[in-house]
Amino acid sequence: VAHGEIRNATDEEVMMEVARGSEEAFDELLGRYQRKVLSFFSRFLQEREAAKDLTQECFLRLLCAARRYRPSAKFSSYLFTIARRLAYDERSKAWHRREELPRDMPSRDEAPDRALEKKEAARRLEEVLASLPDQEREVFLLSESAGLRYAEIGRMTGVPEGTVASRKNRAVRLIRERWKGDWE
Amino acid sequence: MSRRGGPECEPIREKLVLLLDGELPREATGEVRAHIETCPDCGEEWEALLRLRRTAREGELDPTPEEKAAILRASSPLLRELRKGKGRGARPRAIHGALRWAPRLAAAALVLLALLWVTERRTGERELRSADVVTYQELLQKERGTSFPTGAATWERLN
Repeated sequence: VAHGEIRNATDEEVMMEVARGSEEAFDELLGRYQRKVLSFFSRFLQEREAAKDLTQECFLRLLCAARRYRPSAKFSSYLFTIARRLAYDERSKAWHRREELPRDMPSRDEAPDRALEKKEAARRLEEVLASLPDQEREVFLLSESAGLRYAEIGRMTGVPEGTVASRKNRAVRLIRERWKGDWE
Repeated sequence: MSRRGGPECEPIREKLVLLLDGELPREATGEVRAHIETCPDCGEEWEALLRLRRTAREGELDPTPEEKAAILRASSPLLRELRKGKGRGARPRAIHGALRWAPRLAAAALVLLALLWVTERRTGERELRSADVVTYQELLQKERGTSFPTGAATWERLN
């Protein structure tokens, strides 16, 4: 990838540049995935502070494994395999450290009402996600936050693609059942 | 959750999440889409799924600039190592090192071969000379019909 063209490169191409030590490429990857990884950890663990630390850990582990990365592997799948492993490790260590997610300030470029409405909906969703069974929550997050295909999730979690589809369906059904208020 | 719609809606509802995730086989997509457009209940269900996706995306946490800066700071030494080509899987550098030493190794091998050749040649000459002596002895023996005394004196004369 030529210098300055990193923004137009695919995730896999950017990752190959990272493996050569490019700071520009790493910055680009962070721009593309930091939010998704942070949200994945936050929703998986319901701990904002731990999510922050794990996001850093996840990207550092990605760098440690960078030379072993081959572009035949889809980058998002590779990254979230690391993230998922970290999430399970963390949860087994710190299940008891639950705390409420802090409410962020609304961003400057939208009306306060709409911003509050969005925050409230997001908060409700966090609550409902926290109440889901592990397997359903995991599939929902890998599909929605990470944007992975069912086949990729199946390989990652060691279950057939059909099982992933059933879990996703069930997760959505449970969310709809448990969502109180203005869903319908 | 209330589930409205006729019995024909049930199999369609099962496929809505697949459609949303782009996992529905192409041949089934048309049928489901056509049903959503004509059935208000399933259309509503579809809208609800789209709202859920939007909420999930909008509710993602924005990393703070400090969090990004912290990751960039921590990553700096690792990126430096990658630029140097150190760490696991740094095979290209190992090959490069071997290639740098190759001409020296080849030169050393050539010198060794030359030495071996010279040594071999000298040994061969010596053996040839010994063989000549034996032949000379045999000739004299045939002509004279007597045995020829061998010893240091003969060697000196021949050499």
